[in-house]
Amino acid sequence: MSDAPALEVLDLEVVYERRGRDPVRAVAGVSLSVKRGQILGLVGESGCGKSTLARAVVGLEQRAAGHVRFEGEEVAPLTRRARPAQQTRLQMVFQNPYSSLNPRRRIGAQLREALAMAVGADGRRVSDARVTELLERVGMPANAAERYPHQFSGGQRQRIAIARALAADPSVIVLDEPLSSLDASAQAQIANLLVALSRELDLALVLISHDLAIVQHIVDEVAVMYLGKLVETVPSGELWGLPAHPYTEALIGSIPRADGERRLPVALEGEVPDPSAPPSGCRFHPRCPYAMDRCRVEEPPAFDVGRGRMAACWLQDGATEPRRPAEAAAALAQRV
Amino acid sequence: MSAQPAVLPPSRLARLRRRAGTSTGSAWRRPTMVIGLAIAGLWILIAIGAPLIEPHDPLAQDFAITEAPSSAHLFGTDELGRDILSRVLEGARHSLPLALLLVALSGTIGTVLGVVAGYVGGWVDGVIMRLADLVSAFPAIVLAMVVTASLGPSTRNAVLALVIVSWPIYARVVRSLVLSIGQAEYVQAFRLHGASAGRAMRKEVLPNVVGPIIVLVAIYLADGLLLLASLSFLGLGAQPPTPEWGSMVSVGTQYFQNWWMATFPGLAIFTAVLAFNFIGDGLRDVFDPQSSSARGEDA
Amino acid sequence: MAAPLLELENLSITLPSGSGPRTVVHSVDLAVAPGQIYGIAGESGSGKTLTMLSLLGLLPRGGVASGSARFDGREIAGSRSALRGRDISMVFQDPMTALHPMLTVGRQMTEHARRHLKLSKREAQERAVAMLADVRIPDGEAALRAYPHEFSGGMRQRIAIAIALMCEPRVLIADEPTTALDVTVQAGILRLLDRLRREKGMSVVLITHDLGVMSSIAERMSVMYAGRVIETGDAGDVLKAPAHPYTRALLSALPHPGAGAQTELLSIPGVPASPLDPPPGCAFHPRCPLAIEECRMVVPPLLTDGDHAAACLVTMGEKEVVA
Repeated sequence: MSDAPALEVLDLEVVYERRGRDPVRAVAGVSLSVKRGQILGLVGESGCGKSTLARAVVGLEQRAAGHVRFEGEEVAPLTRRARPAQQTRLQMVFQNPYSSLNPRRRIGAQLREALAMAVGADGRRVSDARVTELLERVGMPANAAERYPHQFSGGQRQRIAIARALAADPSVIVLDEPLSSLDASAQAQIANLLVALSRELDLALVLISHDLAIVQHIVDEVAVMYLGKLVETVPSGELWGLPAHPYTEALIGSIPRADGERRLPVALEGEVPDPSAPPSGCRFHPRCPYAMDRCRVEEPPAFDVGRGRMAACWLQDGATEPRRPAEAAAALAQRV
Repeated sequence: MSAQPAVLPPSRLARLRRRAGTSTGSAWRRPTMVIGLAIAGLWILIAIGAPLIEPHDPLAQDFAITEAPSSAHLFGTDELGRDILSRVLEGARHSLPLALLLVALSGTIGTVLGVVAGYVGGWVDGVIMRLADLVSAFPAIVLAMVVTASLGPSTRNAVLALVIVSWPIYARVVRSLVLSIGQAEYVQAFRLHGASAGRAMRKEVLPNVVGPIIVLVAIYLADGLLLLASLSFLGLGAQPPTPEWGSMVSVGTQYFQNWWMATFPGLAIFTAVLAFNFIGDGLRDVFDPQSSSARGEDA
Repeated sequence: MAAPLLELENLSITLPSGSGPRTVVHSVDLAVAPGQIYGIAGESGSGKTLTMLSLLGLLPRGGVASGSARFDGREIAGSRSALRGRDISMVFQDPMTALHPMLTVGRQMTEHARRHLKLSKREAQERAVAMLADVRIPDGEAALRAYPHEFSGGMRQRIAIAIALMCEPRVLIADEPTTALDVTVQAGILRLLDRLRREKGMSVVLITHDLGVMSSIAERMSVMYAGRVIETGDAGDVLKAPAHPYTRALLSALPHPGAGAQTELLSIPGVPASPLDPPPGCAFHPRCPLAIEECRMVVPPLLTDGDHAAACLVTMGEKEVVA
């Protein structure tokens, strides 16, 4: 695992124009980085902009501001021309396994084509053995190559989609909600596959999801997103025990536990605001149980709270160690 | 890491296939498509073999005029003493190839323009679509009448007029398919692997456009037949003595008491158009199994 | 326990298929008390939704229900009952398609209430505003005039619940009501269901595959697999000490909070059995780590030594068959 990040995102912004209405800053300045062999989980609820971020990172969306660097090279959005060869090693797996494979072509043909484009050779020269090797790497049998996508289940199609991404010999794969359309056993199997692949092939993975519980199992680091911005980044081992941002705390509290104790999950007040008109100051303040005056007026920066963690919350101002929000709020209240 | 075998139990396989892909089996179980194919097949055979099976020369004015159907003349004779059965059979050689030509020309022009509009976008798209709108603003038959009347009534001009009138539907459908398939995730994945937009168009988009085009062609073949017959009926298409069904019906309306003169050519038009409509419906179910008529069989 | 409000006894459902009618739900027994939240857990294809649809006469074309279903003592099995929408109401999974996009919220809420309860338009609207307040939709008057697309997914689900409540049903069937929602929104809906149950004394039948959701609010639960109930009992008992290997496997396949980075997730090997073509004997035996010879030969009945029952020969071998 080399030290330079394989993928670096700096102050990325993505803006959607809407007819007759205000433009929407779906991504309002996000920075993150991933190294080879590392798995980053990007977690957030509907409307937080995580899918838009994923697409902008690989070049499927236009950027309004900021940079994306893949292996040191600037990544430009796709134009009509072919993507630069080096950048094909930045790959993507999409959410819906039913629409991410061409329904009218056999699996083998699609994988063969992906392999051919990676090595720049003519499609016919890709050997069957290489297609089989790809399929087996994702746990599919060789005879899958003869079949069409509709003959497979969701979990199997997702494996095939991963195989297609692997055909490009990637160093970074961005996966946009790869588990959301799958049933529970398929989720577990694909999750385990991704972890194994990351280890075997020294892959950097950016895993986008709304399911914090599963993600936290798979990833090394979790980045939490709310309304277009990152509110916290934390190693997954520390996430559950010590969330530093009130939103992360609320997310964790609202996940129901199957422990047989009839305990209602904690609900978060209010609704997610319209991204075209975000609240003033800290975007989360209208729903935050610890909101202070400062939060309504000034947007908090990304505080480095030590141990490789970041939290964008005024409660962490001046922290050298991550502070539990409830404790930090109580301490501040006492001081006043 | 536990692997899943690719083989699913047959019932599950069938359900998945119905949900997401083509269902080649079900088309053949649709009785209307079978009937359509049978009738269309019959007409095609007639069109090919008419000179061999028609009892008399379609142009020969040898017989008693306006004779009712009899054993000598199964469909009777017309106002000039020609055998109507022979003329109806000969008419197939006239109408069917013209309808096919019409569909081939308008389909090709429309498809090409649709692909260009969808792929290039911008002002080119705008111009093509406005042209399409312009043409579609007029009822097809009216516009065709204007063109043939100004160019002079003839078979060639009728086909030309109908091509001008018919291309927009193909262009619109193809353009919208190109745009929507172009957004499909598998096309985006293809681009991410390093395909240029042109290559993605050729390899991923166009093959998926073929199916809907085939359906359109089958359906508009029926439409084309009817339009050709209509123009001839109005005297703007095939000119006498060509045995075109539409003009035969037209003449027949002036001899209402001799019902056979309009009825048999009319039946020919009716059965041929119906047959192609059935085929078009059946093809649509083959290529778009999610449509409700295809789903009608499952609980 | 008070007399059950809703009782299913030996309920079976057959559906037409290419090869004749097939039984997809086998001999389901269930009893829901008044004011109780009853959970039915299972994966897709287990028959949990069909079982409830049969109560409302909403089976797919050609589906036939047999056995007994009693509401408040009266037999309702299989009929297109007038109870539907009034005494028994249902909320479905996808809030985005649950509401008619072209009708105002007010129209959708008052329409069937006026028919069932013979209310005037004004009375129905007043009631609708009260229901919206109950489900915490602010500014009910304005909401009545709005269209569904103006609301978020979570709010639409609340509106769907409000519609279901309009006729003061005694049982609310909620089929995967939170599956399509974000987790914080889900928490709100679960709290809502619990509060409604307390305030109105309404029973709730909660169908879900999510055992965490089940654990938060269900009092009693049944677990279904391949069209049969394979475990039933007090929800706490079932989740803390699951007796059936399938339930145990489901629980251990859940992600464990705080497990840390890159811990392998357990999953149940194989695919869920289809009720149309189940394995012989116990439908779960091909995937079961405890399976013995007998499991292949006989379909285990529900066995119990008290309140908690499970259909497993191995774990419940010594117990009595449920009558």
